[in-house]
Amino acid sequence: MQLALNPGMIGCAMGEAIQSELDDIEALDRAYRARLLRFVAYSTGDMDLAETVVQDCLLKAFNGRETFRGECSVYTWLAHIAGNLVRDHQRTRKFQFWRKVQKTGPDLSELTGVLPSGESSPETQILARERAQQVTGALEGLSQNQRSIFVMRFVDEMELQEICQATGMQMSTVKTHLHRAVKAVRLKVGGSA
Amino acid sequence: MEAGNKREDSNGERNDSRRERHDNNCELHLTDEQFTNLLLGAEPAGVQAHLMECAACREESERVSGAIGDFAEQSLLWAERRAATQPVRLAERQPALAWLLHPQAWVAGALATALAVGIGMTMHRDHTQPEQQAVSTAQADAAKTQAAAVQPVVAKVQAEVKTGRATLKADNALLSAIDGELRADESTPASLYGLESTSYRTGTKTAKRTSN
Repeated sequence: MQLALNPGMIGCAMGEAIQSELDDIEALDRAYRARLLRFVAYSTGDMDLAETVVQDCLLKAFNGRETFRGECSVYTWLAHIAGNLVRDHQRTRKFQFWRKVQKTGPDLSELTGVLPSGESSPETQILARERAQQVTGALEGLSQNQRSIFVMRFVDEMELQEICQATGMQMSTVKTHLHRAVKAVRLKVGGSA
Repeated sequence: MEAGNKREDSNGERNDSRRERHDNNCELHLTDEQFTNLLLGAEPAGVQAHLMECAACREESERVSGAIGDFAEQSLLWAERRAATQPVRLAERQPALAWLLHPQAWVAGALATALAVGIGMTMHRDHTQPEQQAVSTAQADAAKTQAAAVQPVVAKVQAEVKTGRATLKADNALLSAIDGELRADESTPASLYGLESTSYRTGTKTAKRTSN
């Protein structure tokens, strides 16, 4: 007997799987917290804000899971929520005050205590860390939109269409931000341009 | 140019020497837009051909894409480490006065108020009763004390009164007896004559009773 797969059934099954993932906030946290933290931390350059936003984002997504229509991936939806939360936080006067007082960006030097994996030597890892630090330095000179889009595309490996959904920007705007971000990174890391 | 590249691929070692020659002669490099498209995965034929010829652009693209890859890997490692050390707050964050929207909160508040009022009244009553009891007890004690203090005096007075009466009575009796004896000693003509008057007998009898 041969089973015929119905695409509608597959979509329905995937939708149910996504819905069950959203129903479990612990699973949601395990799956997306680190990625969201990286995205918000490198987008804003503010570690404290990133932790707050990620927490609020996961809670907001969990509470509003009924509104998720499944038109994009869960991560795209979460990135959209996180972006809105970042904007909300940055509008407040309190945030603007503390931003002037103290700003703590992500620091990759915290990874110095990580033991090297068996796949690469310690020297290779140190070189990789230095290159990563160069990219971090290049991102610091960019606007928040440029950083966000760069991280979405090259770090989270999101498609341009997904970035448009997550940011609410036009494709041309996304490409412009991405182009400027790559130019800055190329200048810093590549040594030309 | 593509045809030339294909020939180079098929010619082995001569291919490398030609690349070096092209690199040395290459004056134009990839523009920023071409470089971005290259990183995005869009590799038009012209860009591919240029990379085959230009070692500088080839090396630069490898360096930048490698750095971005390192950044993605290191940043994910950092984020995972950071997320693992961050406490997870799964409780739903609610506004400060959100509890007012729940009817259970009102019921609980009413019960708590009733309980507090009941406890307060009970404590007040318990606090008042001992005072009253203490006052009444004090009064009773004072009365008892006064009674106890007065009773000996009364008894003493009564005793004194009784004693006084008895003494007075005894004194009177004694005086009467003395008076009787004195009168009995007085010889009257009648007694001398064997004639006793009634008053004399009465006085004698009285004196005898007193002496008895």
